[in-house]
Amino acid sequence: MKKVLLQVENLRTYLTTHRGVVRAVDGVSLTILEEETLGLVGESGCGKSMLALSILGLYPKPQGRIVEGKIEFEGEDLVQKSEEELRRIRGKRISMIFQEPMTSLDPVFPVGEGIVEVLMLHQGLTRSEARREAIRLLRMVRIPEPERRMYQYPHQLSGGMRQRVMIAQALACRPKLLIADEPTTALDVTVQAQILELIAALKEEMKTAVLLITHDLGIVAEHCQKVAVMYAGTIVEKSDVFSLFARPLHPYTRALLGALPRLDGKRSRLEAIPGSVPDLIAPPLGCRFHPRCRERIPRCSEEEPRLREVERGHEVACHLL
Amino acid sequence: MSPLVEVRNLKKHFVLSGEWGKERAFVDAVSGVSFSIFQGETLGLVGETGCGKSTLARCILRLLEPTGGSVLFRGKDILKLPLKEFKAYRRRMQIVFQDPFASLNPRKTVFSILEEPLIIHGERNPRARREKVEAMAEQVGLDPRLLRNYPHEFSGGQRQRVCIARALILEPEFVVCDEPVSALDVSVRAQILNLLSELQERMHLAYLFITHDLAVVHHISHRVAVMYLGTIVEIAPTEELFANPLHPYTQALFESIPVPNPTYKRKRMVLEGDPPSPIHPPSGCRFHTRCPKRMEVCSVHPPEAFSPTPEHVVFCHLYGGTKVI
Ligand SMILES: Nc1ncnc2c1ncn2[C@@H]1O[C@H](COP(=O)(O)OP(=O)(O)O)[C@@H](O)[C@H]1O
Ligand SMILES: Nc1ncnc2c1ncn2[C@@H]1O[C@H](COP(=O)(O)OP(=O)(O)O)[C@@H](O)[C@H]1O
Ligand code: SF4
Ligand code: SF4
Ligand SMILES: [Mg+2]
Ligand SMILES: [Mg+2]
Repeated sequence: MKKVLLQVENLRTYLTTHRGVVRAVDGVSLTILEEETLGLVGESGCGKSMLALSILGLYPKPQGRIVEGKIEFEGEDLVQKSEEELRRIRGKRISMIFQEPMTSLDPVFPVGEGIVEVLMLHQGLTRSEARREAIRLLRMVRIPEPERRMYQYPHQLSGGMRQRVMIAQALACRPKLLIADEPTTALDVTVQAQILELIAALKEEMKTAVLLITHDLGIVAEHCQKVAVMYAGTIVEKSDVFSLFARPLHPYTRALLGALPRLDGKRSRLEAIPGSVPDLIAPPLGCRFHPRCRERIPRCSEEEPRLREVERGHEVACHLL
Repeated sequence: MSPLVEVRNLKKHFVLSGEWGKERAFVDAVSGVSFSIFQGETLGLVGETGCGKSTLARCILRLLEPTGGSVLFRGKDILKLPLKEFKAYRRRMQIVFQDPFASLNPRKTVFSILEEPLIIHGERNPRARREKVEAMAEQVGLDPRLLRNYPHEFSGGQRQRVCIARALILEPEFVVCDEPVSALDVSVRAQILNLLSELQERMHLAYLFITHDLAVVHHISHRVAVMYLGTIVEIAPTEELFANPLHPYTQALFESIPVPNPTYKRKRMVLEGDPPSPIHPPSGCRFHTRCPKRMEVCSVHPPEAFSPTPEHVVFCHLYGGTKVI
């Protein structure tokens, strides 16, 4: 039995804006075991990034704050940590890669510099040791001619190459947890395949657990052992990946799968979900999916369903189950 | 049946002005593309970012002046027409873009956005215009009561409905959809794809449907053309292409798609590297720098068309008897 690495409990991260309070993460609980890949899926605006940023204490400040909940990582509650303590954890024990590496690579520094910095900060290497190690890491993520590339600037690299640099930087200290927030959404499908295989291979080698955030159910099916489906700030279904795809139970999960154009078998019409993801300033009362749910019953608009285990290891938040 | 739109050997080069005294460079964005589209049909056009899909589409609609080749609309070469005569064709050919926000004027109400093409094309009667706008809004599933609102008051999906309504209000025969659902989430994407299918049936539209999403192209297209670095490498009816892709690039693309089924075991050919730059594209077959099956001839001669079945065309030296160098 693998040990629990990360346990998020009833987390609420709210953002104060001039329009009102955005309840971006609103009572989320999830667990990641060591060496496991958990997929977090959901449409845009449902709070996936804000959940990831909360774990690292990187949510926007001062608008954002964690109003409730715990984030236990290797037995310590990250919510209680000071900024200084979090800085020592980030990049060392937990790393993150983003959708657009341009935003996290500094445009005025050569791409190898970020890796060198991380290694000097967390591993106490000298500059020349760190440089040698950076070259080794860049070679590991299959950057051709790393000795030359490490002195290039981000804009001189392709999108796929930049994402490789980000991965090298994120894994430089062999973190226990890698958070990958839509790491391939901006890439073309052949480059996406390269990057996902790279993450899978390195994760295996370094025994890193991964929180893989995506809106692509195909990526979840191929790369994750467990999956959590997020809707409007809450988790509506959690399960291992095989039972989720074999028996999706929450009406939102089923609707998502029905709305997907498929390669196996052509359907004349997709089962579209009416409406769109709600504004998280005033999310619908009761079940947040109820205005769009085909199976709703009167109780759905009055009472919020709780996440319950309905089959072994398969949790669902819906009044029908 | 003769084609509605026939594209013959279309070319578009962009000239990059010499940076810092460097020599002028040519971007070989579209490099001799030919295909036909029939009435009521959807031709899907897939390929990775930068391979020339949007440039090709804009050249077909004459939003960009092509460098060479011809575009026949119902047999008439529209590239040769003087602009005045071309205007009659313009209303028969429309385009829907990816980003529904960028392509809508934020200072105009949705009503005036939809009314504008009618004014430009000479509908003088305001009542007739109003009726047309309202009928079109209804057709695309927009509440006519919302026509007084501005684009920013709409969700992404609703804005795309506005763009579709604007493209269809002049009752065109041919519509280019340039990544119309790429910016939309799964649930809204399905709504828009369904809408485009319904409208096609109702109005007998022909679509050139551009996307980089293979599941979408599979769903919506009757035939599919695969583009790589300015050239079409394979074109075939959808079911045939997906069942029997012949070009190594098509095969690699298909094998790269993540499949939403965890029990599915794939054989995967992961391509090395990124697509090369169209400024100095590779010689011979443009895919040879990344092709796992390349042969000596591939870097020397561009492959010619080979048709295993009448509707399936592939450009690759693996088929149809290799030339001896
Ligand atoms: N900096 C911010 N200020 C205010 N609201 C924000 C900010 N960033 C995100 N939000 C809001 O928080 C919610 C969740 O966003 P996000 O976590 O980015 O969703 P996802 O990653 O699932 O697309 C959304 O409603 C979004 O509009
Ligand atoms: N106005 C332009 N000037 C110079 N190069 C251009 C211009 N427009 C497009 N290109 C180049 O032409 C190629 C094809 O671009 P595009 O048609 O937008 O591809 P796609 O739509 O397939 O992503 C790219 O390399 C792009 O950089
Ligand atoms: S609780 Fe009700 S509205 Fe929510 S998903 Fe279940 S049936 Fe639908
Ligand atoms: S012509 Fe040669 S390089 Fe091009 S796709 Fe065919 S085998 Fe590969
Ligand atoms: Mg996000
Ligand atoms: Mg384009």
